[in-house]
Amino acid sequence: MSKSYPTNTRRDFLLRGGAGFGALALTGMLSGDTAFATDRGNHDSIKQPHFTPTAKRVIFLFMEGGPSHMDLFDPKPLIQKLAGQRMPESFKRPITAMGETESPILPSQRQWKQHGKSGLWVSDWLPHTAKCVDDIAVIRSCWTNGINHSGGVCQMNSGQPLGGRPSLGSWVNYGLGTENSNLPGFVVMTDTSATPTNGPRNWSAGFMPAVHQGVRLDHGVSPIKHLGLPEGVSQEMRNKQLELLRQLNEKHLQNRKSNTELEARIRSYELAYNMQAAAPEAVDLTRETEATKKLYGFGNKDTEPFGRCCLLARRLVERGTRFVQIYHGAGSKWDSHSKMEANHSRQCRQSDLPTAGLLKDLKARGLLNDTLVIWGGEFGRTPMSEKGDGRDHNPTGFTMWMAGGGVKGGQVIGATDELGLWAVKDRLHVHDLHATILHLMGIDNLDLIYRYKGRPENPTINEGEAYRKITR
Amino acid sequence: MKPHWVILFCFLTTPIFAADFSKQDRAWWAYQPVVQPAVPKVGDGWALNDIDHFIARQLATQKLTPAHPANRRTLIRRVSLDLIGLPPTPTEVAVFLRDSSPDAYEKLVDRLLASPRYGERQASLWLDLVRYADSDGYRADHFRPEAWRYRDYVIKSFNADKPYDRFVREQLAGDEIAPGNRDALTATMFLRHWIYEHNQRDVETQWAEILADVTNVTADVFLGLGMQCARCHDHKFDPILQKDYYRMQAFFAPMLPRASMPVGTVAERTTHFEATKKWLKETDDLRRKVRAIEHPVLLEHATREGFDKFIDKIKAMIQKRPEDRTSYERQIAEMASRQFDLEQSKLSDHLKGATKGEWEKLRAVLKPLDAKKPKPLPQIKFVVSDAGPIAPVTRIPKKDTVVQPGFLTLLDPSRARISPPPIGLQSTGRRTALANWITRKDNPFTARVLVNRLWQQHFGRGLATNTSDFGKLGTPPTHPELLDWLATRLVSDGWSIKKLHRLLVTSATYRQSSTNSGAEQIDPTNTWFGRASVQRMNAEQVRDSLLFMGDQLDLKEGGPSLDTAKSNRRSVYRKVMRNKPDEVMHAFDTPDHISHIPQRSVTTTPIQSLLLMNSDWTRQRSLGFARRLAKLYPTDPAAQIRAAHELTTGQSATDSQIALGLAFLAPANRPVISQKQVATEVGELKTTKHTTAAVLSPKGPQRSLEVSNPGPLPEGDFTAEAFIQLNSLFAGASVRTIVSQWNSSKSSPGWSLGITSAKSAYQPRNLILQLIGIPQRGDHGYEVIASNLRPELNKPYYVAVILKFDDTGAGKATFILQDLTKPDAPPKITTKAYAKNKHYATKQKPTIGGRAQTQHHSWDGLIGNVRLTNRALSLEESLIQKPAADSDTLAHWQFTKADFYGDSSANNNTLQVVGAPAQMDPQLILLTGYCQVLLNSNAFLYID
Repeated sequence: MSKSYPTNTRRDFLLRGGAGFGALALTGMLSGDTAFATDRGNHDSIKQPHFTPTAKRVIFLFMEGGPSHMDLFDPKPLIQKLAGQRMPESFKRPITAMGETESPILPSQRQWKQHGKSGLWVSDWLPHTAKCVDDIAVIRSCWTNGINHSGGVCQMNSGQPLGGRPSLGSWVNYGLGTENSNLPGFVVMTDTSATPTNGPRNWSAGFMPAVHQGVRLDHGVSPIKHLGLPEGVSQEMRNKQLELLRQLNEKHLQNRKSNTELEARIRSYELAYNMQAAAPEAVDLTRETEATKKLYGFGNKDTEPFGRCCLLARRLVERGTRFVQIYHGAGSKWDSHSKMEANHSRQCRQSDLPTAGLLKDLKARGLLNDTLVIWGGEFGRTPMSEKGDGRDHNPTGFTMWMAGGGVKGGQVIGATDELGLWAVKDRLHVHDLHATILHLMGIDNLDLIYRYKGRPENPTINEGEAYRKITR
Repeated sequence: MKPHWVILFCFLTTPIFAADFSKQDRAWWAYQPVVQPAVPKVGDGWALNDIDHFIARQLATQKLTPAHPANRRTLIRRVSLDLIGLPPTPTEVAVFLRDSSPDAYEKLVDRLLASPRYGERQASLWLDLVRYADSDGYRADHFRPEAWRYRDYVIKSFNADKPYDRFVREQLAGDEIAPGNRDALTATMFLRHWIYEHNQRDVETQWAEILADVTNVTADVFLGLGMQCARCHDHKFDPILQKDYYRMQAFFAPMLPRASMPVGTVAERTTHFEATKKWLKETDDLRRKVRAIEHPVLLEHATREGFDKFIDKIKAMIQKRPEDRTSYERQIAEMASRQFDLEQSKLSDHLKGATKGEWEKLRAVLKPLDAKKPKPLPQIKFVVSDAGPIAPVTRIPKKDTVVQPGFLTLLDPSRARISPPPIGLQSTGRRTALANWITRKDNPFTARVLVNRLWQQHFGRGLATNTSDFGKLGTPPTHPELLDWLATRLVSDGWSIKKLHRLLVTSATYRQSSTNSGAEQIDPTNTWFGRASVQRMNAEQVRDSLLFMGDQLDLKEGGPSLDTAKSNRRSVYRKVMRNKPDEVMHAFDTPDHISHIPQRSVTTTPIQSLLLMNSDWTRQRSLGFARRLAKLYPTDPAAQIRAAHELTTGQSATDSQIALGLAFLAPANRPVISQKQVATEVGELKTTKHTTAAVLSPKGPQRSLEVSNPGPLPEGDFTAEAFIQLNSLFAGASVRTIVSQWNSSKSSPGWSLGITSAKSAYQPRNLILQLIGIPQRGDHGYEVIASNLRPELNKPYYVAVILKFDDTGAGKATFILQDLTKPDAPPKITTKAYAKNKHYATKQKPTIGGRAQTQHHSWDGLIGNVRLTNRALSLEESLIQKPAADSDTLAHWQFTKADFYGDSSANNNTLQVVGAPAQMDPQLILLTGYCQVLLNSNAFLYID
């Protein structure tokens, strides 16, 4: 029952497998489809899912900086009651980033209502998301270890607060590959030109080959770098260059037929050429109708930046990109140590409508069935106040939600304590969340192995259990 | 080979390993003592040294014959790139080809080993192992200004052929072994390369992570042991107990990261220690009283991250007097104290009333005593020592078992014997004990691990594949006896690394050709080394070689790390910022420098192809290469082609390669030069997003840019905007001009936006507008409007001036300055009124980075995204908020590649370069295109 690649090494297989170069392996080597890009025998990646997936692709909406669960999805009457008082002694004290454990409780100023057929609670900060609750599973019992942004964002991406490990998108890219070799399999976008906390480490391939890392789309007309011809090179000259390169390389290959890497590099120029053609089309939003653009909030300066990313994400997953991550509030903009009201009002105004637009658009196109949409930040916020009108970081209990990709909508999973401070019921650590996401994609988190320094590594560091009930 | 995950699955479900080790565990090859095996008597006639006999025996067993020797051209390229990381020069190739002496190759190897380039190449490999970087990692990714000294130490050590045992001992315990030797102290930066979060409140957890990092990396680098698996539980596959992990960690438990530490011999340190102790004792009472007044106030007003956010336990450690802290308290208090500053100079403001009087009195008494305090010894920064002579207790977490320093229980279950160093060092001696054990001649791991790493460097794969894990997760060595023979040899050669390199690369095994059709069928993975393995150049080799081809590589040695964008030094000297990897290097698989990397990935991706074909940086390399060839052979394309092949591949060009080249370089293929293609240089602003800009320099070749054929130009109200980054000020009084429409004559109308110089009457670095109207009634019409906004050097900014005139001709100028590294911070805005200059309109050509008809007042740095609008824009309409053109946009130059010096407004105000040589020769452009092909070819990127 081996799920690993059945032969000794890639080169071995290719040589024995016949004349040179199978198309399958070629695509793999070049596009990062599975782990064929390296020659070091690290490729225990899977060729097909461990079990039937319900999600084929992921769009992860990362609300960077830490949204306040108790002001959005997790109403807590007790914080209204204890407003201005110290947290009762009965609650265990966490270590928080700003040391606000003994500060007075900050009540929520939100109006809460139940929405949809399911009657899920959503605050008035998210009126558009509220209309989609029947497609959403709200997980109120998330927890993590990183108490600061850096550790938190790093862990939500890679499973541990310290850097050095591949991000979830890289694992998925490694495990399943892309469905379209002309496009990157793992794409990262930000709503503004600001850099998210930790920068490229968030979408790094860690100890895996760089081919599995996320490709960050730039702002502007040329989102993928180096797609355009350099100054002074006409298309005519480029064609002549590629032809000369092919001739020189073919000649060079003649005595070295057994080296598949050389042939892979020859083909990488063809693939680059194809990518130059395919990528601009994939990111060309002028091909969308006005109605679609409106759905995503185009034409409004608050909603358009994030809406643009969401619409791009839909176009990319439609074309086979496996994992798209969009940072909203890149550079910790959800971080509301003071002036919660102003901060979250703005953040919600920018993100709520495009988020709902994405869900509706995916649903209308039949894509939501097998596209998993994830919403959440690196942690939540404390019931205790900070600076009078803000909230500190809360890694011990917070909310995320998932929709589509087989997730049963209209349900609440888990619970925090009466203050929203600690997750208490059906607690899901980041590893469990990752395991759940992988599970929906048909991957067993402990069976997806990459060998680093000879040691078997998996995405959730030997921990984590999928919350399987999310599909029912 | 069995798929490993199956094994993993079994082990994960069955508990294994009690403290007793099984026979199998004890028998595992890596734990056996190294014994010198006899050299097999196989391979006579082919073998050149003893290595070859071991290889020949296995080849014979597998029914394989070795490949033919590689030809000399192949060999010199291979061994040069291997030992010094650079290809040979044509002269070096010629000398080697001509040398008919029997030891021509050995002489070549000796020359390479003696080259200072050797240490640079070896260091670049070593730095991966020790996760070297010039920044903290984490969110802020602060620069580490001292880290480069470790890099230079490594280069120097390799070049001096420092014995490996000494090299190891210095890195682990240089502060105890040679406290007066700066090099040995620099070596301890090995224990400082962990990632660090500058504002982590959970200080104890961060410290635990640092100790774990140091433990893991030591086991990985020097011992090839997967200790980290045993941090949370006994190792699942290898006989490494969780207890062993903490026995190992206990050697590091007393370690103290030092911002600064004394350099002095044992005698000097002891004298200083005793004198200080005496002084402390004499002043104890007084200092206690002073501290009782000062310290709480200082903590209350602590700046940066502040004091009040720590938990009480840590606050208490910080509040304790340093001499009262335990070693552990010192470690934690000092880690925490890095997060805030205590401002002694502000004390007198904070203290009030009677306390202040008391304090002043005490200080007055202490002052003369302070003068008697022993003078500090010379200092060194960013190293480690111990926190004191008594080590903190090491416990296994959750189990609360106390452990003492020790080695693998399997090998030696007793406590490590530790000799305390002289009291003056205030150290435990634990790290010296560990270093001594690692470098013992009978340590089964150390020599094997090193020779295996060098084997991997030269042959593409280690004799044992997992070079940093000799446990059961790795594969046993293919040639265990050879491994042991080499390990013995290393030790008997006095741990000389150069001798080992020489032995490896002078073997017949190393000198084989990469082709051996028989062996390729039977042994496709080259397990038995019956041919050379073709290897892709690594990132350093790619970048250095690209610079080398155009004669652009700067071979200056040593010194602080440099930004790759600004330096053509060898890649080993680049600034390794963990959160901002160099684009070219990262595409070719440089690691993230966060944890130990025993072997880099080798990827083949379309992203690499796009980068090598389309990026400006690689384009500049092709241009440099083409210029070099054109200079060598100005009129002879065939000679250019021959030289190009020789330089890129080390081989002489074949007839068909020459024919292909000549066809490409045929005059009929020369591009038609449009004005847009004239200029050469675009750079990148250091903004948070990718923004290109024109590179302008008074020294040329691109001094300034001017509109040769202007369309409509400003009249009355107008706005000028640009992205700028200034490298230097004029030493005199000239102005660094951003954009102007003026010839510098105070009697000619016009305007000029610029930054003042060192001797300016308006103070240096002042953003100013010079406005020159038509003189009326004795008014000379020249006026300087100084914003008093001062952009810093080497930093990207958005600048704008918005002019709005009233009916009288007077009005106001609004200046905007926005730091582009902080695009979300509010811009600095200032508005200045001015007098009567409404009629500045001129036919003078708009010039970017200078003024018309003069070489003075030119810019030095980058200017991008210049927009002129014939209207006073509102703030909301500024370029950073609303980059779109409107009907009042006179010109917008963006300096993107697609539309180089063209104007993206409707007015076609195309720029041309001032100061550049005449138009670039179309044949040179063609040759650049040819060179680019060779620099993308497999014959260049791979080493045969």
